[in-house]
Amino acid sequence: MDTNKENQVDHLIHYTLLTGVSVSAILLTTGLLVVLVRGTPRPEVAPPLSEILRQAVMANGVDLIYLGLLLLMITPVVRVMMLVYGYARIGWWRFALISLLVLLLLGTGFALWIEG
Amino acid sequence: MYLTTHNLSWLLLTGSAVGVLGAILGIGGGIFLVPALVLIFHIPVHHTIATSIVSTIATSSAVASTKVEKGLANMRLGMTLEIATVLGAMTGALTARWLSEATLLRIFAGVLLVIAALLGWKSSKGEKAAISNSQCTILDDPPDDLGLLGASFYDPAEEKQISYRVRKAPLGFLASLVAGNLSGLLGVGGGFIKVPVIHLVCGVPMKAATATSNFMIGVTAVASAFIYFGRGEVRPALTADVVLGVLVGSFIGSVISQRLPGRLIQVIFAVFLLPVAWQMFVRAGL
Repeated sequence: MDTNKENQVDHLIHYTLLTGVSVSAILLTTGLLVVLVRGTPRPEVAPPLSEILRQAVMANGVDLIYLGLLLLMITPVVRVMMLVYGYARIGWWRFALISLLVLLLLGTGFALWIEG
Repeated sequence: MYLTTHNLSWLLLTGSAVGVLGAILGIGGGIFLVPALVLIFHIPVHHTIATSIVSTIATSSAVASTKVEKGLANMRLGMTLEIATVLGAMTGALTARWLSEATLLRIFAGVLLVIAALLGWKSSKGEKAAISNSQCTILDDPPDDLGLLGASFYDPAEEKQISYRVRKAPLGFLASLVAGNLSGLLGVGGGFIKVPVIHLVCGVPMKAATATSNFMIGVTAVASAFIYFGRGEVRPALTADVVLGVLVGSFIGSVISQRLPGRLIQVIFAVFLLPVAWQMFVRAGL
């Protein structure tokens, strides 16, 4: 197996993870700063996913935190998607299928989230 | 618990301390984070596990991005074993729902004792705790084909390309199932199970084994994080605060860890974990 081909996939995964963590850290920091500046005690109850997505466009502190957490949790999922794409692109179908299986398992977990 | 500026500051500091400890000891911060949130902040254990799981995603993703770029993480091995860790994590998270707080605390305390023993053993053995490169399936004159799961990486310490094959992958798969289950159940990364098995049993060099385990943790954690989020056990501001603290602490820890006496620190924390485990047992009503 030509491991040199895998370097292309390495770069793809590196940038996917770095971007996900960086952007979510910025959102979480901004959200927490807004909460701190306003000094409002927050009840700690997470709304359902649909509510998070709907409120994410409103840029108040807690919604930014929700968006940051959502992005953080989606980052590994996107990483698996990128692996499916990356392995398929270099023709390593066995590992593309393995990655797809992991993605399907994560999809089951996601479905359990939606159901609550 | 309502979050105030005061609470947020202390949680941020706690997260940072956990990140520093995790980076220095080379283990996930979950084993420190969960006891700290339960024993100091009196947060219910199901919520602390959910918080720990999400912070694990952050640290794993941050560290894995650099390890993958350096070619240290064996992604083909990682993805294969992730089938087991994800299954285990989902089972663990679903099981946690049916376990009482006291039961979870007892299991966690038991795992702390195991980790303390592993740290103690590792520090007493020193470098003998790792097998040498000659005992791994490293190939001095590697062929083009390293097998389906074999890989290679450049080791700056040895100033050469290390190529290796992977052996006994089914045992790695089994260990990953257990590690994933504990991760979903207790909010820990599970590296304390995966790294020794991938290294000692599968014959993967230590640096690649650690990087591969770290690469897997993010996906393992997110499988159970979805379930905890769906149950409303991820507290957003609390989790955000801790995640940021752990990220900063991990960075500081990775910088200072190279200047600290690793073996002495492992002994100190192996001893430190004993009273923490005891407190968790006490909290659970023994």
